Order: sequence, then C-alpha cells, then structure tokens
Amino acid sequence: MFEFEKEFVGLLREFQRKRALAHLVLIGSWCLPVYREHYPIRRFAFTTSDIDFSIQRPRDLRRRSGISLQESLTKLGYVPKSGILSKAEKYIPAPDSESNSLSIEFLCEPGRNTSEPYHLPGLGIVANPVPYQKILLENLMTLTYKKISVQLPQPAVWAIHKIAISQLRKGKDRELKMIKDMDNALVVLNWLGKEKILLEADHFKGKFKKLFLKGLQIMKIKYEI
Amino acid sequence: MGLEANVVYLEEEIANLQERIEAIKSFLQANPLKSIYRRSIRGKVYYYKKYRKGSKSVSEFLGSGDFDFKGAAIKLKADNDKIKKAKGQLAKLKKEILAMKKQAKIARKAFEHVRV
Repeated sequence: MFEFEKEFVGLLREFQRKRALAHLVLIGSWCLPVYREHYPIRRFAFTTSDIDFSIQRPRDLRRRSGISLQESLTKLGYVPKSGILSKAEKYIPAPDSESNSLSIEFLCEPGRNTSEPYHLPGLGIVANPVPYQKILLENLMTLTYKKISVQLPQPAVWAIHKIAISQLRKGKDRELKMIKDMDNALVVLNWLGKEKILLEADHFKGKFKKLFLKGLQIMKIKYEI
Repeated sequence: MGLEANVVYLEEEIANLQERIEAIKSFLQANPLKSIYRRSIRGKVYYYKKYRKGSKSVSEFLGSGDFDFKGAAIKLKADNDKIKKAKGQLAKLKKEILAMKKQAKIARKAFEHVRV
C-alpha cells in the first residue's frame, strides 16, 4: 500500500456511489497507481497529494443540476478553497479532519473565449480550465481499481501529454517541474517503448505535437532514450 | 526518481501543507473556543456565550428564562471539539512542514551539487 491509497479509494468509492465517475476522468500522476494494477510498469517513487480529475463535456453540466459532488466531498471531510486571484477552486482537507491529506482539483478544457473557472451546477463544483485536456479526454479507457471502474487516458497518450505539457511549465521552478513531468512519462515510456509512443504521437498535430517533440528531444539527451 | 523530481515533489507538498495551515488558521480565527454561562440578575436568569476576539473577551447574549441551555451547551461542546481537533491538526502540520522544509533544503543542495 502506498501513501494516501486508502483515502484515494474512499474518494473513488464515494464518486462511484454518486454515479459521478461517468463524468470524471482521472488525470495527472494518480493515473500511475491505476496503470500499475493492470500493466507491468516499474515502481514509481512518489505520488503527490494532489488529485486531478478532468470533466467530460462540462458544457452539458452547466445548466441542469444533479449530482452534488461538493456535498459528497464535504461529507468526506474536505472543504472548497478558492484562489485569491485566480478564482480557481480546490478541495482541501477540512480543518478538523484528521484522516485526510489529499487535495482534489477539477479541470476542464477551456472554452473558446474564456479562461475563467467553470461553474458546473450539474456536479456542484467549479472546474478550472487547463489547455490540452481534450487530448486526454478523446483517448479514454476504463480500468478497474479496487473493484471500481475508473476512466483515465490511455497510457501512451497520458505519457505524450506529460511530455508536451512539461514544455508549458512556468515559474521559478520551471526546469525542475519539467523534469518531474518527464520522470513520470518515462515510467510509461520504458514500459511501452519509444517506438509505440512515437507511433501514437503521429495522431497529433499542430502546437501540441511541436511541444511533444521538443520535450522528447530534451528527454533523449537527459535520459539517453 | 531523480533528484530534481524529489525537489519538486517536496516543494509541491510544502505548498499544499502551507495552504492547509493557512486554511486552519483562518478557521480558528473565525471560530474561537466558546463557553456558555448563566447570570442571575434580580431573580431572572440570563444566558451568555463567552469567547475571545483578538485580545478582547466578548460576551454574547443568548436568551433568558426558558432558553434551552442544555441543547446550546451540547452544540457548543461539539463546536469546541471541532476547534480542538483543528488545533491538533495545526500543530501536526506545523511539525510536518518543518521536517519537509529540512528535507527540501537537503534535496536542493544535493541537486545543485550534482549540477555543478
């Protein structure tokens, strides 16, 4: 058992009970423990306490109200926390919660004209728009994790996405964050092989493909792949 | 996992812990520990809630006569338990962040040493 696993399973179970998993796609580094249940990928050292879920077709959930994820998360001992400037929402453990450590964030593909957070009454949450989510959402698969069906991107696409977004990192630790993304992608790349990843990457074009190739070039030098 | 990833992991976790600490601090500021007491003035009983706001002690009138003192005391105890738990969490997280900052300092030194 790895750190936070029990809490992660509890969260998935609650989302399954609320039938919310049909709208949610697990993305980010928490895909690795799920992939590891099914594929022979090597052990990875760390899993951060940030869990990211991407929302499928967020526009469909803008009007009608239905599943209240906020209520579920509050019941599980999390509270919403908004950023001061960004208005982005994140769920962090409640002040009196002794067993929770994870932070949960909901993301979605940005709209055509807006980069503002999306209020989704259909799920009772606010999703933060992040670019290139569509690539993950268009290449989904369903895997079971502790008897719970979870939607997540195909491993090759997940790795390609990680390599591409490593080139979009900003801030003072840009370089270090880029390497962390690449380290994560390398876990899948070592298992699938470079050829398979390149073959899959051929399906993409435009700026995303350029970012991926740029990232891969850096990986070739750094990891000698 | 490489040294760089270790530094990023630790710094992300430090940021997460910091965020939680801030949230707990603002929760504790908004919800101080409270106590309930009764006062008898000229034979009539009045109930008050007492708590500290900054450096001041505040008394808030709750009711008189047939006020549900027992019910209010139970509710207040539940709230106080929640606050005590939050205080415990704050102390735990402060220790955790201190240890993590030490680890991050060592990890960054190691990373910079390798890079040079």
